[in-house]
Amino acid sequence: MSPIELHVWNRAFGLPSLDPECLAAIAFLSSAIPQDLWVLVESNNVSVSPNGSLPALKDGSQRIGGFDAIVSYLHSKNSGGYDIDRNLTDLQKAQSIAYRSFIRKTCLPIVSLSLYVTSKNWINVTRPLYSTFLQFPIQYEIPHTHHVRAIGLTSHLTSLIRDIAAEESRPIQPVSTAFAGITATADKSKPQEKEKITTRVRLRNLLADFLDPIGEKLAGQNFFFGSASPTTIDCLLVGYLSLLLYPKLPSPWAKEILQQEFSDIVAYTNGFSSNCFPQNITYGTPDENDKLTLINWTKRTIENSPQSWGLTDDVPLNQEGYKAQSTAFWVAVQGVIGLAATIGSVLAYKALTTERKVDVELKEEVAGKEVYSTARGSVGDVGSTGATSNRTEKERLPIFRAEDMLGL
Amino acid sequence: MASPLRDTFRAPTFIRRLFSHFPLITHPVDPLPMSIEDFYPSAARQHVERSINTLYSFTDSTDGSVASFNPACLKWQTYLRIRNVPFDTHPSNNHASPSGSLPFLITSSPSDRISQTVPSTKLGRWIEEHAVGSANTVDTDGGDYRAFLCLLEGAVRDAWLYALYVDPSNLSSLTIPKYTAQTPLWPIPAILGSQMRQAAVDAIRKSPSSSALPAGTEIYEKAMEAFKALSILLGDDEWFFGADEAGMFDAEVFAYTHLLLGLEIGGGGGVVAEGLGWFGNLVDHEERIRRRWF
Repeated sequence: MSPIELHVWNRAFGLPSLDPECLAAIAFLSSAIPQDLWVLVESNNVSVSPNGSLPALKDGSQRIGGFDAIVSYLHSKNSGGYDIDRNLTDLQKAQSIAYRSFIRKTCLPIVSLSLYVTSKNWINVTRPLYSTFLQFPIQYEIPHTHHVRAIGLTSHLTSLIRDIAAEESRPIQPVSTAFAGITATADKSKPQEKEKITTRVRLRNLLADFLDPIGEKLAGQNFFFGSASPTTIDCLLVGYLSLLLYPKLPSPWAKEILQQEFSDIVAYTNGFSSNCFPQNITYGTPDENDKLTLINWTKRTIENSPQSWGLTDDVPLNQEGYKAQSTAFWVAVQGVIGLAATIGSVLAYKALTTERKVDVELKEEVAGKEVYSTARGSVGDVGSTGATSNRTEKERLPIFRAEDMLGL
Repeated sequence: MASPLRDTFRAPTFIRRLFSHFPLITHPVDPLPMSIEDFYPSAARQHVERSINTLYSFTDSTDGSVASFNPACLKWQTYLRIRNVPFDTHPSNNHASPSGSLPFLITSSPSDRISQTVPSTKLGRWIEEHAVGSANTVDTDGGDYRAFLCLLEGAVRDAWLYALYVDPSNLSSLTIPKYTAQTPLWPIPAILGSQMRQAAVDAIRKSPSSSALPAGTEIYEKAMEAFKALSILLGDDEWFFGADEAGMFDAEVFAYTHLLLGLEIGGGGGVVAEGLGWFGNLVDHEERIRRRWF
């Protein structure tokens, strides 16, 4: 029997993967399944997964995508032998499900902020990291996709991101020391220091928002539910926490705050991560079809291009009917609008040009200046235009008309 | 001489002729806004004073006891009723809201004449300040409370969005008629409908637990798992977290269960609504709130 393959994103930061969900899946498999029954495959290829996200599990012909699906698949396999939650009460199982969504909702923005959106870390560490394991054209597309997703996930933290960026750019600013005395930097340094502290406090609050409930729940125990062995929620938690704690970053705010203020959580992560990310993980090589080659990548990009251009939203589940209807509808709308615009413009042009009156432009000298006036008359009606011009010459009063304002 | 230059820059006759037709109509001056009574108390005295708060939400009725068809609106409507705040509802849409999202409350009390607009983000605090105290003392900062709230705002909300906005059968039979009731002119419902659908797809994709290619079956499975967890959490208690009186969390759950059980949802969403029926205690919880406050 061939071993189960776990497809993940590449190793990084001294951890077996750079993605929190992949780390969680690795932690889960090494806690639930004997070491010789599974291999880790760094395929970096999302088309392995049926739902387009890594981690993905490949068990013979079966393919399962996403941490939650992998967990429930393995729980039901081997008649529950791989179920590491089997000793939990029903309420604890319910809490486990709830805390999974809590961890993702609160911690994923923090991880994204730390690794992808804090520009110093992104430029110096995370972005170059992708180049080390991806080929030439692919190494531009994949990190870009991840970066865009990270920006989307942190969109509610805009002001905080700006503060971090401002703080980072500051040491570069003082270019010349010659004018330092004139611009009085001594006064400036104090508010800067203050600002730095406020940013730090806000980052601390962001982390506390996630870690306080977790810390309460852990209360110094080795595992989340106080059991002797890890459960699913521990695996997910360690996946996210280790990405905050272990990467060596130029702007290491997450690590510093964790070490300063949440020492019990650091102890918990250190204790568990050494067991769940063992040094002797067996690595497998992906099949030819699962490899991220240039050909596979190009094929997938072409297949996905209608979606990335916004032509279709590939939401499965019998959408064909809707798509056909909506396309036909839009074509009809465009046709109607186009037709209406054509007819309208023709009518407007006719109405404005085939009027039986014409404008006669008069150029006159009024008080030494040239002015224009327009007299309107029917075609061939020379008398009326003449009369108007005579009148203006005599009275020299109503020379300007509203429409002439445009000409002048 | 400036004249050749002027000749060059004169607008063509056609354009000048066109512009001489404007303005086509001069409309009468708009009446003064109703809020003028805030500045001229005498005007207010003549005007019949509203003695009740108004909740602007997605709804068909001006009666506060008719449930809204939008979960976010229904949540606040339920909580206001639980806390015994008197109010009327008013059918509205996002464009009316100062914050861009519904619901919002325009307050009115006999003591201060100046009415106050409370957006949904500040509604919770306003209720704490203005309503009589509640027997519900659940700690809303507690870990379990926040975790289960995330479950509701994640898995259950995604399933709701998928069933009502993305699934084409429900989009055309339920969502579009309800949300575009105020503008039933031909192309507008269809355009708004496709915009709402796109917004829902974006919202699902942005959800932290979503995969790169979200599929209906996966989303519905997660929602069923979430309802199972909520059912276990409620257990045999009357209200969530063993409280003596219904609270915010009960209103949050009711907002989804009431609509899922009450609307005739077709397609995959119907399976979720049917599946929700298996969790007897959640159905009873929904009925308990509906009987008492709606």
